[in-house]
Amino acid sequence: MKPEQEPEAISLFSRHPSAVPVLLLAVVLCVIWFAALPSNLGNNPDMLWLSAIVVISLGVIATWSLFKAKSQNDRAGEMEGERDLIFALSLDILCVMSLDGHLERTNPAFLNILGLKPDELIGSALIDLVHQEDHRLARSGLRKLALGQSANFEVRCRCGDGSHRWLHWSANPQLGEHRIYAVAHDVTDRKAAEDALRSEFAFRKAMEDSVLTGLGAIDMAGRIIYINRAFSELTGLPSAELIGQSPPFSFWDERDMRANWEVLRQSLAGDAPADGADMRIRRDDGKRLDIRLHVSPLINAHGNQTGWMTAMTDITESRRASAQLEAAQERFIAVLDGLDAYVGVLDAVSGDLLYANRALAAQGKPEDSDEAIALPQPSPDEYLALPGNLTNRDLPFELFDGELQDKSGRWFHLRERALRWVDGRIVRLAVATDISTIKHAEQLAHEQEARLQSTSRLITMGEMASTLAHELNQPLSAISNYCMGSVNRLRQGNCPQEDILSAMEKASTQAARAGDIVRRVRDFVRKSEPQRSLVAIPTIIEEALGIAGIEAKRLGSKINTQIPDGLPMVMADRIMIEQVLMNLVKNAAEAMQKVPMEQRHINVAARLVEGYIEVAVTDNGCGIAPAQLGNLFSPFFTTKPEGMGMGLNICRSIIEYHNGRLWVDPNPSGGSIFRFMLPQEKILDHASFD
Amino acid sequence: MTMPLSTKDIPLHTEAEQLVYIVDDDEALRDSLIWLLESTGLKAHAFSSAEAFLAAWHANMRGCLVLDIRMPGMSGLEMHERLIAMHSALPVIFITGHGDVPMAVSALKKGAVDFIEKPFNDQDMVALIRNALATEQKQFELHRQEADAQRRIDQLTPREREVLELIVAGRLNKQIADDLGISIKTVEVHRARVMEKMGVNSLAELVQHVMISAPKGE
Repeated sequence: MKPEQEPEAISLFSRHPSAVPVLLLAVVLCVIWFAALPSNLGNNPDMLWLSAIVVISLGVIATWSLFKAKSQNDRAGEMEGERDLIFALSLDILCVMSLDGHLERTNPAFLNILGLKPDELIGSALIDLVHQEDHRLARSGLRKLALGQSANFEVRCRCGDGSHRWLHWSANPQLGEHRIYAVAHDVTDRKAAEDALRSEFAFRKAMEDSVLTGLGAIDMAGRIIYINRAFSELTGLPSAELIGQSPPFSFWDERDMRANWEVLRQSLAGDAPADGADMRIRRDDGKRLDIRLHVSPLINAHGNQTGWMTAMTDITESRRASAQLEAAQERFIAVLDGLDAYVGVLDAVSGDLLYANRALAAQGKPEDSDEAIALPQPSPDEYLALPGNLTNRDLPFELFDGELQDKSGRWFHLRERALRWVDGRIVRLAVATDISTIKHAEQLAHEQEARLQSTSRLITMGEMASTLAHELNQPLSAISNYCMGSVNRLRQGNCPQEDILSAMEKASTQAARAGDIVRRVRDFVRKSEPQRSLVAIPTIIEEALGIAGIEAKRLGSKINTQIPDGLPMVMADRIMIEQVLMNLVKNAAEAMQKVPMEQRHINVAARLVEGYIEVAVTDNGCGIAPAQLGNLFSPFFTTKPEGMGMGLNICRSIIEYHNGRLWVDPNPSGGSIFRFMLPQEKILDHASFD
Repeated sequence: MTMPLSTKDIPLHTEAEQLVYIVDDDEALRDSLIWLLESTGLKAHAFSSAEAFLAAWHANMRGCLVLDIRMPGMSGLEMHERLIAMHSALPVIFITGHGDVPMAVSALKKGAVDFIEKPFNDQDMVALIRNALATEQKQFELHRQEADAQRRIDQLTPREREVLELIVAGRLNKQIADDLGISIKTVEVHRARVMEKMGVNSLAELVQHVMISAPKGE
C-alpha cells in the first residue's frame, strides 16, 4: 500500500529522465514535417520520401524511446514496489525525516513498535518522541545529521501507551534531498538484559567487597587474577600489586614459607580439611595474621576448570579470643578447685550431684547415708522454701544461710541458693566453708574472756585489799584519836564527863564500822575461793601463754617452752595457776625492755622434781638487785612505776595456798628465774601422758 | 632606852594565832583528831575537802596543815602543789594509808614537812604537829625581820642607800666622802639619817639588818 500517490507520468519522468529529450525531439520533427508538407510535396517528390523516411524513423525512434521509457518506467515501478514492500515489511523502524528532524515518512514497524498512529507521527519532531532524559543524546545525533554526518544513538522513545522503549537509531542524511533516512532497532530487551547484568554485577561486587573474607581467584598457573577489597585489606597491599602475583606471594613471611607452600599444595589438590586449612600471612605493616584458607575450583561455562577461588579469613582475633576463653574457663575451674570451700550443684528436685569442685569431690560420697554430698544438709523446715517447689520465676532464690555441724563435730557455714542451671533446670548451688577452726577460735576467745574476767577479779582482789586497808585505817585511827584524846583529858582532870562519854560512843561507832569492813572482806574472799580440780600443767602453760604471749609479743619477746611428756597432774585451781604463770611471763617480758630485741627470750620450762612439778620462767632481763630481793614478795612492793605491788605477793599467796612454793633465783647468764612448785597429785589413774 | 619611833609606824604581820588545819574527807577522823589535839592544848580547825580548804586559804594563815593524801575530788598531793604555787608558808604533814608511801615520799621531796601512816600513834602525831608549828614560828619571825629590814631600806634616799652600801662595805667616812665626791660633813649627816631610818644604834646592828634583807634585796 502506497501511502502517497503521485501522477503516473510525473512519476515516470521523474524516474527516467533520458526518455524526455528523445520524445521531445520526435515531437519537434513531426511538427516540422507537417508544417513543411504542403510546400515540399509539389516541389520535390524525393524530398517527400526523404522527409517521410525521416519522419518515420523519427517516429520509430520516438516510439522506441517511448517504449524504452515505458519499459524503464515499468521497471522503476517494480523496484518502487519492492522498496515499498521492504519499507512496509521491515521489522526495524524506517523513516524519512527532514534535516530538522521532523518525520516525513514512517514504516508500519514504527507504528507496531511504538503503537502510534501515522497522523500523530508525520510532521512531528522526532525529539518529541524521545524520553526527556535522552534528549541530549538525541539532539547531538540530530545535530551531526544536520551537518551531513551519519549518526548512531540509543534513546528511549515514547509509546502510544505512555511506556518507553529503547531504540537504536542509525541515520544517514541526504543533504541533496534535505532528508534523513533513519533506521531504528528496538533494543529494549537487550537493554533490560544489560541492566539486569549490570545490577547483578554491582550486587556481586558489593557482596564481595562487603564480606570480611578475603576472596582471591587464581588461575591454573597460580597467578592471582582477581581479589576483593577484604583480600587487599588483609594483606595491606593494593590490588594492583597483588594481581598477577604467583606463589610464593609477597605477603608470605619468610618463616611461614614452607608451611604455606604445603597448605597451598594440599588445598589445590583438594586434600585440605573441609573446614579449611590454617596458614599465616604477613600484613604490610609486618604483623603476622593467622588465616583460615578455603579453596574451591573455578569452573567456567564450558565445565572446564580455569583456576581456584580462595577465601581467607583472619582468625587471629578469634583464635586469641578462644584462647582467652579457654584460659578463663581454666582459671575459673582453677579458682573453684583452689577454694577451700566446698562448692556443689545439685538438682533441686532429684538431689543428683551435677557439679562438685575438687574440695567437695575429695570428700567423696558419704558411706552411711544416701545424700549426694558429704556435707551436712539443712532439714526441710530449715529451708526458706522447698527447692523442689520453686519455679523459674522465683530464681535466683536464697534457700539457706547458716551454720551446721556434721556427725564428726565439724562446723560448716553453708549457703544454698536456687539457680537456673546451664541446661535450664533448677538447681541448688551449695557453698560450704569449714568453720571449725573459727568456731574453735571463738570458743577459745570466750574462754579467754572468762579468764580475763577472773584476771580482773584477781586484780580487783589486789585493789580491794589496798582499799580495804585504807578503809580500815579510818575507823582505827578515829578510835585511837578518841581514846587518846579522852585519856589526855582524864589525866588533866578538867573535862566534863559527858564530853568523854560522847567521845567514847563515837569510838564505839567507829569500832562497829571497822567490823563491817572486816565482814565485807570475808564475803568477798568467800566469793573468790579457789576451785580445785585435776589439771595438767602443760595445759595450764599452753593456755596461760595463749594470753600472756600476746602482751609478751607486743613487748618484743619470744617465748620458748620445754615441757617433757608424761608430767603428772596437779590438784589446783586452773585459772589461779594460769594467773600466776601469766603474771610471771608478763614480768619477764617487762624486765627485758632494755635488752636488744633479738635477745628478748622467755623460757618456760616444766619438770618433775621429787614429787613436785616445778615450773620455771626464765628471762635475761635486768635481773633483781640484791637489795630488792628481800622485799620482792612483800605486799605493795613494786619496781614498776605503774605497779600496784600486788602481783608477786598474790602469786605467792596463790601458790602457797596450793601447798607449793614460789621463789626467784638469779639467772646465771643474766636476768631472773622465777620458779614455782606444786605437789603432784598422787592418784596414778589421772596421770597425763600427753 | 627608847625604841625608835619609826618601828611603831611600820605595819607588821598580823599576830595571828597558830592553828592546826585538818583536811580529811572522813568525818570521824576529823572529829576525833580535833578531840585528840584539843586534849593536848592545840587549836585545830577541820575542812572536809581540799577544795574547801583552798577556798578558805589566805596568805596570813598561821600554823600547820594535816592533810590526808587520799581524798575524793582533789587529792592531798594536788592540793599541796597548789599551796606551793601560791607560796604558802604552812608546813604540811601528810596522813597516808597503806601503799601510799611512794606518794608520800614524792610529796616530801616537794617540801612537805613529814608524813604519818595510819593508824598513827597519838603521841607521834602530836609531836609532829608541835614540831611543825615551831618550824613555822621560826619561819614566820625570820620572814618578819626580813620584811622589816627591807622596808627600812626602802625608805632611804638613793644617796643614803649609796652611803649605806659603802658603810656596810667597811669604808670610813673620809673614804666615802672621796668616793662620792662630797664633804665628810655631808657623809656624817647621811650616816646619821641611815642609822635613824634603819632603827639601829650600832654599825654591827646595821650590818645585821642589811644582811637579813639581802636575800630578798638581791
